[in-house]
Amino acid sequence: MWGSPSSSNSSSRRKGVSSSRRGGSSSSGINESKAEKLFEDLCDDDDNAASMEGEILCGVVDDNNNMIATTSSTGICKLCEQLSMDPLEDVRVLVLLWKLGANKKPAEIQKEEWMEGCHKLQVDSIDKFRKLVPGLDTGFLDREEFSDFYKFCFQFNRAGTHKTLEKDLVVALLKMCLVGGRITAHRLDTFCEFLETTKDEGYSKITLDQWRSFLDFSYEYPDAKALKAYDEGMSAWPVLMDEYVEYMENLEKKK
Amino acid sequence: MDNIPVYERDFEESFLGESQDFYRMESTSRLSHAVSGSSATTTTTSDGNSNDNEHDNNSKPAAKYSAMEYVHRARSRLEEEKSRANHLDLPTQTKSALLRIVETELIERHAKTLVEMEGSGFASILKVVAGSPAVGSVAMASANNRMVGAAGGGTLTGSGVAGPRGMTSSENGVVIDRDRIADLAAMYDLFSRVPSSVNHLRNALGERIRLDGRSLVRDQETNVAPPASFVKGVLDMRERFAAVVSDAMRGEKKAQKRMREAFEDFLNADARAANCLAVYVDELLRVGLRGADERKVGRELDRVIVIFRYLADKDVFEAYYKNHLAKRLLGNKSGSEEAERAMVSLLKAECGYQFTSKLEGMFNDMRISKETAEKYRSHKKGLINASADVRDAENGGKPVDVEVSVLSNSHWPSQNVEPCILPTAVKAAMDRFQKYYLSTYTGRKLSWQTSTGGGEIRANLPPLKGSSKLRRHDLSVTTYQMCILVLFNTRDTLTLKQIREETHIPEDELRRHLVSLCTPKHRILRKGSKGKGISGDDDTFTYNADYTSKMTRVKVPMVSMRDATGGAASGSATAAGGAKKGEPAASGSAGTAGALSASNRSGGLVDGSSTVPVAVEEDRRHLLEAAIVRIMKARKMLNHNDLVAEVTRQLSGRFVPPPQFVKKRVESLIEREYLERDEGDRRVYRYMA
Repeated sequence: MWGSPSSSNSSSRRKGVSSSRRGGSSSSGINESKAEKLFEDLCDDDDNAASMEGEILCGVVDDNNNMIATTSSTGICKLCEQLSMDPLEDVRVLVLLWKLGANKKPAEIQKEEWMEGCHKLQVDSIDKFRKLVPGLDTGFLDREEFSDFYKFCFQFNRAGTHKTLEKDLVVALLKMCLVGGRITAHRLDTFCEFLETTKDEGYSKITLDQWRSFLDFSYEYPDAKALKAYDEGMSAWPVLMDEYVEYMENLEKKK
Repeated sequence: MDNIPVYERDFEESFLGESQDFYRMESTSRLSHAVSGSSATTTTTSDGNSNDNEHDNNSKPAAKYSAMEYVHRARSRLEEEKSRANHLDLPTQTKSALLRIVETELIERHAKTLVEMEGSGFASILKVVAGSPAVGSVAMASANNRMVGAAGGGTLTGSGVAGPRGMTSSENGVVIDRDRIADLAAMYDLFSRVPSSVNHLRNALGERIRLDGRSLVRDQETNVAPPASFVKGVLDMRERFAAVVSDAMRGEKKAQKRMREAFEDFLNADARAANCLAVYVDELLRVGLRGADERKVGRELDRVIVIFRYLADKDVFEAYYKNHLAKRLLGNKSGSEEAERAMVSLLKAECGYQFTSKLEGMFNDMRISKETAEKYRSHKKGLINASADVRDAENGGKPVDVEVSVLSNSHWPSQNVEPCILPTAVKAAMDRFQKYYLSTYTGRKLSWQTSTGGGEIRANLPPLKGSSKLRRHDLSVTTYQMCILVLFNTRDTLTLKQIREETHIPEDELRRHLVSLCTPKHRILRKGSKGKGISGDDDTFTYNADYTSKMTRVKVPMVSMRDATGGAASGSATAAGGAKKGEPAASGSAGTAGALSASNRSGGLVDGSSTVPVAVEEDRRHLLEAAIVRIMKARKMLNHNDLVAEVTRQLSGRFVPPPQFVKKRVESLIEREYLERDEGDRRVYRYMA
C-alpha cells in the first residue's frame, strides 16, 4: 500500500540535477535538508537512528520491571512531544512510525528509513507532521493495510533480537491497537482476560504467529454464536487459540 | 401352474402369513414364560422328527428355553420347513420367501435377546470360555445332557453336537472349553443366515475383551498383581479369543478385526502395558529362557511380539526394554545369549533397523569391552611390577584389579551423575586403565559412572570372644558402599554429614546405601538413631567389630528406596540381583566398574509409571520435527490436515502422536522459520528454504 521504495521520487527527479542531499530542495516536493535536519535533531549523538534507547514504546520499564510513565526526551519521544502524542497511550505514534517505514530494527527508525518515509508522506517540518496527525487513526486503514500495521506493532515492540513479546506487553498492545471496532470488544476483552489468567508457562511469551492468528481468528469468530462452529480437530489455528476456545466454553458452562 | 396370480393370492399369501404368525408366536413364547398357542399340532411333522419339547407343546405351558435350546430348536425348525417344502414341491419363490420369514422371525427378531440372555446367551457363554477353566464344570455337565437329549434323535444337518468334547489344553497351558466353543459355533451358524444379526455377536465379543482387558489393567493400577501376570493374562486371553474367532466364528475377517481393535483399545489405555511387557521380557531373558532350546525361545518370544504389535506407543516399550537390557548386560545377568539376539532380531523384523541399531550397539560395546579388557590384561603383565605407582600401600601392597565396561554414550540409556570420590587405590587403578585406553583410542572422552558397578572388599575383623582367630570376610558391594566402608579404615565413627562430604555420593543414594549397610542381617555398621531411616546430618555410623556372617563371601544386598526413606519415595529401585555364585576369589581385591550407569533413576524412567517417560517425550519431539521438515521439504506446500495425516502415518511404527502434539511442533518450526503460513490460506504451510 505504500508502494515500492522507488516511489514517486525517482520518476520526478529531473536529469542533471545533482542528487546530493545537501543544499536546496529537490524536485520530490520536500526540502531534503530540512527533513534531514529534523532527523538529526531527534537522533542520538552518534547513531544514524532515532531510537527509544531501549525503552519500550508502550511504557518505560524500571529496574524492577514495573511500567512507569516517562517524559523522556530522547529520540522518538521528542517527536511525540512536539506532536502532542503520548507514546504510551496513543496508537497513532505506532501508525506514524509504520507509515514512515521503521522496519529494520525494533524500537527505532533509521536515517534511510526516515528520509524515505518523509518523501512518502511529503513532510519536512514539524508543522507538516502535525497536519498528518488526524489522518493517523487506524480507522482509515482497510483490512489489508491494517493487517500489515498490526504485524508491525508486534515487530516494532520486540526487545532487541528477541522474536517474542512478553505476555503483559501483548495484552497492553492488543488493547491499544484493536479498540475502535476493528474486532468485537467481547473477543478482545475475553482474550486478554484469558491471557492474563492462564497458568500455562508456555504462554509467558507470545510469538508472531500467535499474534497474527488472533486477528484472523477474531474476524472469523467474532461472537459466541460463531464460536460454536469451531472445530478443534480440523483446525490449523495455533494451540493457543484452541485453549482460548476451551476457556470460553468453560465460561459458558459456568453460567 | 397356469394361474400364478391365483396361486399367489389364494394360497401363497395366506400360507406365508400363517407361517409368519406361527413362528412369531412360537419364538416369542419360547423366550418368555408365555403359553404357546394352539398351533402346537402343526409341530408334529411328517418326517418323524420328534423330541421332548414337542411333547411338552401338547400338554403343558412351554418352558422358557435357554439360548442354546432355542438355537437348536430354531435350527430344527428351519430344517423342517426346508424339508417339507421339498416334499411338497413348493415353487422356489415360495420356498425362499418362507425360509426368509422363518429366519426373520426366529433369528433376526431375537438376535439381541439371544446374545444378552442371562446365564445362557452368547455373551454369557463367551464369559465362561474367557474365564478360568474350573468355573462351570458342573454346569457344563448338565448343559451337555440337555443338549444330547434335544439333539440326539433328530436328523440334523450342519454341524451338530456330536457329544461332549471337554477341555483342550494348549502348548502354553491355556485351557479351552471346546463344548462351549461348539455352542458358540452353533449360534454363529444360525445367525449367519441373517448377516446383520452377526453384528450382535461381534459386539458381544468386543465387549467381553474390553471388560476382561480392563480388569487386568486395573489389577496393575492397584498393584495387586505383578507385571508379568498382566502379560500372561493378556496372552491367555488372546489364545482363548483367537479360538473363539477361528472356531466358533469360522475365522471371519470382521470378527478378527473386532478382536484386534478391542485388544488395541485396552492395551493402549496407558503406558502400563508397555512397561509390563518389558518386565515380562526381562524375566524371560534373565531366568525363563535360561538353557531353553531354540524352539522354546522362538515360541515364547513370538508370543511377546504378538502383544508388542498391539502397542501404539512402541517407543515407550523400547525405552523400558533398553533400560532392562543395560542392567542385564552390565550385571552379566542374561540367561541366554541366543535368546537376547533372537529378541532383537524379532524387534528388527517388526520395526526396522532404526529401532534396533542402538540395541545392537549395546551388544557390540560389551563385546569390544571384553576384548579391550583382554588386551589390558596382557598390557599390565608386560609392565614391570616394581614400578612404584603400581604398588599401593593402602592396599597391603597389591594393586587393585579393575574390570571395565566401556560404553558408547549414544547407544546406552543416558546417565549424568557426577562421579563420587573413590578410594585412592581404586582411583589409581581406574586412572591406569584410562591412561591405557586413551592411548589406544585417541580423541575419546571417558566419564566414569560411579552409580553403577561394584567391588569386593576384604573385611579383616578381630576375633570373636573366646577365640583367637582373625576373621576375614569378602564383601561384595556396590561402588558407593565400597566408598563408604573404606572411610572406616581410619575412623571408627562418622556422621552422615562427614560421609557425604568425603564421598560426594548423591543424597538419595547415600542414604539408601548407608541403610543397606546397617540392616539387621548385615550389620556391618551400627547406626546411631533408632528405627529404619536416618535421622539427619548428625546421625552416626560406627564400625561394627562384632559383625558376623556364616559365609566367607557375603553379598550385601541393597534396600529399596522406599525402605531407606521410610516410605516417602516414588517408584522403587530394583534390589541388586541374586548373589554371584562361583566367582573366583581374587588374591588382591578385584573390582568391577561399569562406565555407564544403568540404574532406573535416570531420565524419569520409573518402573510402574503410567505416563510416557520424559526421555521418550524428548525423543518424540525430535522425531516429529524431523518428519515435518522432511515432508514439507518434499512437498513445498501442504495443508494442515494432510500434514498431520502424513506425519502420523510415517511415525506410526513407533508411536501415535496426538494431533495437538503435532500442532505444537509445527508452531515451533514456524517460529524458527522452517515453515510459514501461506498468506492467502492460513491453513496451508509453506516450506521456507
